[in-house]
Order: sequence, then structure tokens, then C-alpha cells
Amino acid sequence: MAVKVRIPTPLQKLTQGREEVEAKAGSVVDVISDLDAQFPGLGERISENGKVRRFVNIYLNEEDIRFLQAEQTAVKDGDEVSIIPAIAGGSSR
Amino acid sequence: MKRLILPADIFYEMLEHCIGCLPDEGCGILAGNDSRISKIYKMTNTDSSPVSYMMDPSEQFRVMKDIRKNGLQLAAIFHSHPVSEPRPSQKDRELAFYDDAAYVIVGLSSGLPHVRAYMIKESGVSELPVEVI
Repeated sequence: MAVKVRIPTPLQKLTQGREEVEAKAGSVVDVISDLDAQFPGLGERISENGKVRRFVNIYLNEEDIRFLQAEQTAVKDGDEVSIIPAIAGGSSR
Repeated sequence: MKRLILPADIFYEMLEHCIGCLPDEGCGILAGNDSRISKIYKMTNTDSSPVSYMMDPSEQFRVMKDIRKNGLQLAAIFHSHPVSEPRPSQKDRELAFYDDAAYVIVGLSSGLPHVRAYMIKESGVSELPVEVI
């Protein structure tokens, strides 16, 4: 059994249109590295220098990883990771 | 997407939400199948600002699941510009990660609300007609 990862629509171009992919268990950083090895370019869209990008939210099952151990949160086989780009903007600039 | 089709009740609910959020920007998600909208999700703007919005991430997570459960698509994202024209700002363009969705902007700076919709892609911004049915 592996970790199930939900890929958001804007990043499905990098996963050949797949909405769900699998990754090896480990920390969130390990999961992102494994995703990048399988789907080159995906990692940099999610994180930069080991940190999740500001406008990307990652959920482990039902919990935002910022309220767990952030990038070091442990992800086990059978867990579900959801990658969700933020929705933001505004007229300020 | 070539146009956005909005049932009148959803259209007016979107306007009411944006007006109710004044003086701050209001925001939300329109779900449907392709260009036809069938469900509105009114979201919390955690920036609480008249010139900026950020949808509450936990609400967004729940809404994404609900959209999937209902067999719908995230068809459009709306927000208001309380003090400026309904055109994508530089910030709107930089943060338009959902390039398959339409971005609807409700302009509230002059009397009646003005609603415009755009596709915002790396290659450029194009306006879409909005049909209220």
C-alpha cells in the first residue's frame, strides 16, 4: 500500500491528466520528492528549497499540515495527501 | 471555455454576497459542468481587505471535496473589486493558478455592479461573455 496523492486540476498537465497518483510514505518533503521523480517539474510547483510554496496548501487526510509538523509531517501508507493551490488575488496592484 | 452561463438566482446571490462583504472584497466559487454553473459557494476572505482576498484554506478544502462528491467541476472563481474596475489586476493575474476556470470579477466602484469574466492563462487574458438565464 502506498500514499494516495490528490493532484489539483492545474497540475494535472504534469501527471498526464491523472487526478490521483501514488507516492512512497515518508515525510511530506519525501512525498514531494517522490512525486517529482515520477512527474518531473511537479516538485517545483509545490515547494521551493524544501518549503511548501506560500500559495499552496497541503492536507494530510483532513488536516492542514501547517497545523501538524508542516513539511516534516509523517505520511504513512494508506494516508491521503491533497495538494490545493490557494485561491487569492485582489485589486491591490 | 467560451462563455459562462449563470442561472439568475446564483448570479444575484453572488452579487448579494459581494455587496454584503463591503467594504472588503468578497469571494467565492462557482461549480458546474463546463460553462454552465449550478452551485455557488460563498467563501470567507481571510484577508478582510478592500483590495485583496484569500479564500479560507479549510473552507476551500471542504468545498473541493463537495464539488467532487457532486460530480461537478470548479468552473469559475469570483471576487469583487469594491474600489476599482472589474478588470484583473497584476495580483489577480499572478495568482490565477486555476487556469482552466473562469475568473469572475464583480466591480462595485460605480453605482450598479458590473460583472465581467476572464480566462487568465500564462499566454494572456481573454474576456468571456456572461449569460444570465
